[in-house]
Amino acid sequence: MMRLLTLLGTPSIPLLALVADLLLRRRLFSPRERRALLWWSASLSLVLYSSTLGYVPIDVYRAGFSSWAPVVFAALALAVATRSLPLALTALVTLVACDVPIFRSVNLFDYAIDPMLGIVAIGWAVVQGVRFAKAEKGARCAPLPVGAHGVRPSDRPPHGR
Amino acid sequence: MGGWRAARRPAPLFVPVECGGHAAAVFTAEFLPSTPTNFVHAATLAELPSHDLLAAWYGGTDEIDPDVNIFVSRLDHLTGTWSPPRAIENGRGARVKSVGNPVLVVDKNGVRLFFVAVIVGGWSGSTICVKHSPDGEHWSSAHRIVTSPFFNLGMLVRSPAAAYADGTIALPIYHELWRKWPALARIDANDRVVDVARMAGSPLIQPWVVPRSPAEATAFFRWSARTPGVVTYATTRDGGAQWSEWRSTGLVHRDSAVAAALLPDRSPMIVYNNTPGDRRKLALVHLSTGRSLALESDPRPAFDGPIRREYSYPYLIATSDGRYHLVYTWQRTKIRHVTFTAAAIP
Repeated sequence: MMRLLTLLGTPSIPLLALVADLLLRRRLFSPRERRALLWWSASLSLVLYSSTLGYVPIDVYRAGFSSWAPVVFAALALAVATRSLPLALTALVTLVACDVPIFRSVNLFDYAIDPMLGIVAIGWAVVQGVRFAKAEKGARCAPLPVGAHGVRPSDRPPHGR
Repeated sequence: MGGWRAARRPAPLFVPVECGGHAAAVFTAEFLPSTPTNFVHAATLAELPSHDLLAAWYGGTDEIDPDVNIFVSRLDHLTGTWSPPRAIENGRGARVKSVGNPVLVVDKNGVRLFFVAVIVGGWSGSTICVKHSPDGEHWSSAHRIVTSPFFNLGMLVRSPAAAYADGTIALPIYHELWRKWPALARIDANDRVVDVARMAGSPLIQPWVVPRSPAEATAFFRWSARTPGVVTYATTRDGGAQWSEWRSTGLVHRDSAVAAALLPDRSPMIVYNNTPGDRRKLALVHLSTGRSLALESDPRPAFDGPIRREYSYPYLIATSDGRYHLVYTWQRTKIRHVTFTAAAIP
């Protein structure tokens, strides 16, 4: 059990932010911001871990050691800041945590994403996708609203007839 | 603030390595002291500042068993005797399932022992740990180094590190989780990985890096596939940041480790299992001339009951006295130590 716990390693800053959000009864992020963070985490983890496990020929993880990675990340944070201060602050804390560094790694990706957050975010994204697909299917199969004179909108003659 | 370490460091330059300047022909062989274990494997060697040699290997009931320990023994260069092996790591402190593949690194800060720690499943569920010693006698507890973002799993170590002029080291590592590839990790004195450069793709693993100049090096790879392949190599001209496409040496082998070093004329020699199917032969080959020296050649079956006729995992270093020291696994029960000079190679 302890071995499995140590396997989890160090948490990323967005994971800590989401945990803090839960502990603060969802006062840290708005639902829209939470969704954005989870979509971002799902996308990033898919790209990073596909590369790490060798399914993508590009070495994405190495970019996290480079000098331009924090610049790109800071630019993203600035772009986000105009729409969401909490998300921009999460990005800023991620940058600072890596620059200190607070954990053993000096790779920006180890602070921006972790496998636990990746699994949670991908799981959440899959659930969202399934819900969306079901809703779409339901909308297509549902009885169409009946018009004021008992004629379905689709039964109405097309324009110009 | 620590700063963006990889970016702020200058381009890495290798520290020139010793390459056997001893004039007389010397060739001696011995076994390292035995350990009370069913099997031993994967020995490593390093020269201490006192010119003593430090060897480490792992042994237990079998690979990935929880009773496996890493043992060390020290060769007193004055008396020529090895100290009794001492178990220094079994992974319990680091909360791991088993340990293996020790790699000793000596620099101005002391001795570091990198090793593979199996976390879940087999070797592919491993990570790399390190422990420190100021003198090769007293060891710290082990901790993990971060080489992969995916649960820090899948990376292993087995070959010696090359020193960089700025105090960091170039540690050859390789990935085995789902896909295989070799890589070179640049690690600072605080055991922080500041860069990881992939060197090639599947099925190459266990890179062995031989620096040829401050900026240039050649890496040799183990062909890790079920079918026979060749010992391959790649080169770098920028201190290991980028690597060329791999090429063939023409030396046929199958899924067995290789070791290499430079001769005094700075041409490379390789120690490898020169058989396409098993590890019953072990040879030293001068790559430029193709001349070889048979170190082991066993015509008996590779598997004979409990006996495994395997001569594998060569580990070759050049020491400051101009000699070469080679250690390898001998039938999985002993560690063979061969000392030779360049003049003894045909």
